[in-house]
Amino acid sequence: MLVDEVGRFRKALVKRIRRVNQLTEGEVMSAASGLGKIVDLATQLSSHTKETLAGVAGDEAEEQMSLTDSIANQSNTTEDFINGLNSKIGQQREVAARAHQQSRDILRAAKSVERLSQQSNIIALNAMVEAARMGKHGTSFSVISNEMQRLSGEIKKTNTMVSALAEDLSILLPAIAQMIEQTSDHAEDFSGVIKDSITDVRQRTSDLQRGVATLLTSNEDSVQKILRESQDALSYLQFQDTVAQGLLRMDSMARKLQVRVGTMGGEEMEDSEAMKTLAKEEHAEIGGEKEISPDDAGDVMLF
Amino acid sequence: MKKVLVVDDSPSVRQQVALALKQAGFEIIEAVDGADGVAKIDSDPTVGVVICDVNMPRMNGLELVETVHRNPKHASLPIVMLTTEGQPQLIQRAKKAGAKGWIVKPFKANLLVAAVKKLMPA
Repeated sequence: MLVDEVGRFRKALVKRIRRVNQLTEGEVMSAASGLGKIVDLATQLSSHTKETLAGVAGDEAEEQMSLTDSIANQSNTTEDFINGLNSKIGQQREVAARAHQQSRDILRAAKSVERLSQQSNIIALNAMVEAARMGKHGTSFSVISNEMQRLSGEIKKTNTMVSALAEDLSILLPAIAQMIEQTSDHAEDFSGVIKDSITDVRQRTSDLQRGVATLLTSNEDSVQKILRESQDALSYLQFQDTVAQGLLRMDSMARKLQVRVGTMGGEEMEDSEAMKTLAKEEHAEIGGEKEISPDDAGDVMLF
Repeated sequence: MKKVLVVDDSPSVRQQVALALKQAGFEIIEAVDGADGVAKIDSDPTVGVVICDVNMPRMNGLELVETVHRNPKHASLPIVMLTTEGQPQLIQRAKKAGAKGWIVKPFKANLLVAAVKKLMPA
């Protein structure tokens, strides 16, 4: 009678134990599944953010780089042009300086010619005076002196024109040299503006890339945090295994109890077949009796 | 990347180990006890590491280690025990049978992942 009572008690206990185990197992799996979904979503969101940022950074950076390359090409062309221009300006400056010097030489030569013209005029006048004194015999001298005087006048007129031209040139050439200098200054200013623009575009591209890198790092940090926290949460859900082991032990103890009651009165209960079978089953499913210290939990021992 | 075989009679433990290892990029297959574990190892040559419980019905984890390592084809397959047990004699038996490690439940996901990474053949 007592054995039957214990049997019924054990059956009810086992039923409860299994129900509790199934319930906790189901709930734990549901919670872990939720954790897994959170991690999957976080990972997907992170990948999506990475792709979007990479796309934005790629398109923007590509556009900026293309613009920078284009400006850089233009700049190189402009720089070549400016260098060529500066070289030509240098040559022009040299030619203008030489022309200026030559105009001054012409002025000096014109002054010499003027002196020679005056002297030849004086000689012609003297020849005329001498021809007059010679009377009839000096007629031919008179003709020559008249011609010399006329030639001297022509030389003076031509020399005056040359002097005026040389004078104009000596005034114009420094003005031309000044204009050449101004052109050179403008060219250098233009080159500076182009170089500043390229530096600005490169700076903006670099800022954009740095910004994207910061966002990516922050995104990665967030995902890592979610992973760490989900792992922590996962470890809290592992109580189920301990519960299951405890419930199995309780089941085993109830069965042992039933066998003991059934063999009550026998002298060698521990050696009975039923107890041996129980012990074997217990060893296979539960293992030893040693309790694990909480300090041992999570320890990894690699051999 | 090679597969990790998780052998445990508890569905929740298999699920939790799988979650932790999948997050680290491992592919997971599961077995419900030692006998199922041996069958999976025999049928899938891509299994690189085995995480195995000790106390299981039909065939326990220590028997699995002994059975698997008796087969020369799997002699070098790394097997790590994951269990609530901590008795030195059990640990010694596992070590003698060729297990590569012993982790006491509840496990820490990052340490489990680190152990699997260390043992996974290149």
